[in-house]
Order: sequence, then C-alpha cells, then structure tokens
Amino acid sequence: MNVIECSGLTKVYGSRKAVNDLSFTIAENKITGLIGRNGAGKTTLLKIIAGYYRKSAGKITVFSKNPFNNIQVAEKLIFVDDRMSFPPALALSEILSSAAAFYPHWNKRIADGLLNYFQLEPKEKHQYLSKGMASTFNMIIGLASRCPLTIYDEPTTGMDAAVRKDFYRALLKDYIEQPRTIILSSHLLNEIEDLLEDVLLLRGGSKELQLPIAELKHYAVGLSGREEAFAEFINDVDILHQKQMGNVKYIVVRNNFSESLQKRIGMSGVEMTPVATDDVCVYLTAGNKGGIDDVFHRSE
Amino acid sequence: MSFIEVNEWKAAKKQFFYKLTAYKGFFISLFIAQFVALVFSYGGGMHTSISVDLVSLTVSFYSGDMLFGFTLIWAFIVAAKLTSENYRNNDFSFVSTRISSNLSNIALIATLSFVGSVTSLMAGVLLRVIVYFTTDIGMIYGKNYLLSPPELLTGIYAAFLYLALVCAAGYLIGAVVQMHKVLIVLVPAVLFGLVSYELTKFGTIRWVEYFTSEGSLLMFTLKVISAVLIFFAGALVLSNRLEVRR
Repeated sequence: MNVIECSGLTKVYGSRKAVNDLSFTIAENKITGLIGRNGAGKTTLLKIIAGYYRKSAGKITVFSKNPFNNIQVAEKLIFVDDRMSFPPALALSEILSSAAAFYPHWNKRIADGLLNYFQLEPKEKHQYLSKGMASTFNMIIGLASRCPLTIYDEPTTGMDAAVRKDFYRALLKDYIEQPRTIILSSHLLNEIEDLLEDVLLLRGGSKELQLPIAELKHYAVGLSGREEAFAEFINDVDILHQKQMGNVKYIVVRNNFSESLQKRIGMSGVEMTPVATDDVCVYLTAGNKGGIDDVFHRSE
Repeated sequence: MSFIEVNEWKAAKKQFFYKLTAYKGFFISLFIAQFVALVFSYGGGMHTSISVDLVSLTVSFYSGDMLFGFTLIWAFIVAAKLTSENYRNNDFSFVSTRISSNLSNIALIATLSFVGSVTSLMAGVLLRVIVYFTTDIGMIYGKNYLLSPPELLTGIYAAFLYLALVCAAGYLIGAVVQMHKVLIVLVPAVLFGLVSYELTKFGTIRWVEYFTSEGSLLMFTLKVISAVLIFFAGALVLSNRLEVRR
C-alpha cells in the first residue's frame, strides 16, 4: 500500500515554483530519505504532506486523502522539525504527557528513557533549551509518538556528532520494534544512508530520482586517468561531474557500462572508483558540471 | 454542524484540556487584573465632605465598575492573543486541524468567560465586605449594596454574556488582523474612527448601546448569542484556509 501518492504536485510562491510538477509514491513502512540542496523544495513538500500548506496544483493523497486540513490524516502523522512550538508555561515532562494524550500509540517508556539518556531536565522549559537540545527533545516526541507516518525535517539541526549517531540508532531500533513510514530530510546523506531504504532526490522542486539506496550506491562511477585514455569510453555517456588535477582528469559518469567495457576500461589504465551516494546527489543537483572550481577558473 | 467530523470534536476536546494546563497564565493574569482593580476601586472611592456647625458628613462612593472593566479588557486581549501565530502553531505541533484548533479555543474562551464573570462578581462582593469592615461609620446606603443570591446569579449570567461577547469580538478582530500585516494597523484605525464618528454624531456608540440598553434578559441573551455565533463563524471561515507557517 502506498502511504503517499503524488502526481503533478506544484506549489507556487509568487512567481517561484517551490515544488514543480512532482510525482512520486512512498510505500508503507519504508524509511525514505528526502535529499536536495537548499531551496530544492524539501520543506515545502513535507509541509504539504503534513497538511500545513495548500498545494497550488496537482494531486496529493496521504493515506488516500488530501492532507490539507484533514483530521484523519493529521491523526496519523507527526511533523518534527526544529521549529516545533510549545506553550512556554509547560515543562518538558508536561509536554511529553500532553503529547501522550494525542497519540494512541505513544510509548512512555521510550520517551522517559530518552529524556533521561540525553540528560534533559524534565522541569526545564522548551524555550530555554539550546538548539541541539531542542532538536533532541523534538526527536524524542517524534520517536515516542509512533505515528504511522513520521516526518523529520532536518531533525539533526544543531545536534553534535555523538547525539546524531545516537539519534540514528534510536530511530532504527524503534523502527524495527514498530515499523512505520518515515521520511527523513537531511543534507547529510552519508550519515543516514545506512538507515534509508529509499532516496528521493529533489532538484529545483522537481524529482531528480527516486531509488533504493542500494542502487544509488552503484548509480555512478568515477574514472580517473589521462584525458586521452578514456576519451573513447565517454562518447555517449552522461558526465555528471568533471575535475582536472594537473594532467589527470577525474570524471563521474552514469554507471551503465557493460562488463566487457568495464574490463577494457580497466586495461586502458583508467582507474574506476565507486562514488559516495552524497557525492552522487551533489553532482546530480549541481547547476554546473565543473562545480565551484569553475567559478574560480573562468578568468584563466 | 455536519462539516465537522467526529474525530475533529475528539481532537478539539484533547486540545481544550491541553490548553487549560498550558495557558494557565491566562487565569493568573485575570486574578492580577482583578486584584489591581480591587485596590483601585477601594482606594479610589469618591469622598465628599460637608460640615455644618458641629455636624460633619462624609459620603464615600465605592463602585465595582472598574473590576468588571478590567475583566472585559483582559477578556478582549486574551481572545485576540489566541488567534496569533504562536498560539496557532502550538496547536499544530500535535494533532490538529484549523477547525479543531478553533473549537478548542472557543471552549477555552467560554471557560475563561465563566471564570471571569464569577470572579469579577465575587470580587465585587469582596469589595463590599472590605468597605463594611474598614469604614468606621456603620451607615451604608446603596440600592445595590445588598445582593440577594438571585441578583448575584443574574449578575454573573449577564457578566458571562458580556465577557463572551467581548471575547468573540476580540477573537474575530484577532483573526482578521492575522490575514495580513497591514491589517494590524488598519483594523484598530478603522475601529477608532468608527467609535469617534458614533460619539460625535450620536453622542453614544450605537452598536454598544444595542446590547447595553436592552432591558429584557431574554432579548439580551438572544442578541449576545447571535452576535457571538456570527463572530466565531467569521473567525472560523477566515482561519480555515490559513497555512501553518512555522
């Protein structure tokens, strides 16, 4: 069953299309990573899914219903980001017990355990927490609520590396205990790739690709060697990225070489290396094949 | 109201209890406002003295009007505040729709109006008691000094209706102001203009008098209830399409 179905979804702000003709589906009980550059439309998309924003055009259903202002969708999902707001009079422990009233699957054991583990003072007020601690607290709500659809928008904002690691581990453990649909948007794909099953990559509000993470790992391949050595192999391939280092050239191309071709490339002295998934995403969403280097080399 | 789903009522109920604890500050501010009003009412009593030969007469007037006035102002501010972005966003951290958020606000406003009406009338009784014990001359005259229980209950009832009316007006004005930044300036300006127009042209504000001059309690109830329903419905329609920007 698909939890989210979306076709031709568009969201317009003035003259800018934050989400542009986006079509995809997300299946039940999968962990999907929503990846994209700043301004790619990640947050806008997530807020449309959460029913916060109204779509401008297209179709979107969450649990088979239009999510905007729909109680039946709202009951089944939670949207966690660093701007969750709580009444200033409530202490952290009171916020947790209030949340328990709203979510039928609320897990008090995990909520209290995590609060204690991350050394958050139950009597503390949310607005006095540091950025990282507020993110940690919001994450606890997201985990403990055990909603059928849990959305994390940049959940690790401000968290230090240790807390981020703990968070990813907690997320996975809790998911195994109680599988549900999770969408995680992040800039740090290399940190979360072990967690994800699918990746949805956005570029300029549109879908660049949606793949299982295992396929994304083999999506592209890096070739390095003298330029004339691989000239014959790259006539009809899609170059994602290129970089010149002295007389050695490094290019990243779509990995659709046949086995025999791979052998020939190996024998010609060109080195083939795997490309990390977050690099693939960066190259796919770059505005320019040469990257930032081009800006500096233009005058030469 | 068939456009409100069963689950929406359930969510609104949860939100209502959440808000009762989360916004307990509203009650505290009410008690502070009433305490200040009580002090002013007692200290600000009007005194007139006449002495003829050996006889001197001091007449002191005490009024509970300020108590209720302060409560009305408090009610207006609290209701308008509930429509502000921060308060709306608080709802959307947990399960909520625009409708459930408004419904729970209305329930909260009704509760606040009830508490405000009871406490302001009770504070009026307290003022009488204080005056009784602190004035050295025991002659107290006043047609409203002694309140019979039915009078007190009627007073609470009327006060509740007034507070509900002011809250509903505050809630609607708050909801209108949320539509666009310009309205924050525009709406108060227009209201101020309307009030001064009415005052200069008619010497009174007709749409206030519409309620205050009503002699029949039943008619007053009907007038207030219909106005409150219109105000809340207006606020609901305005906020129902708003996006949650947090």
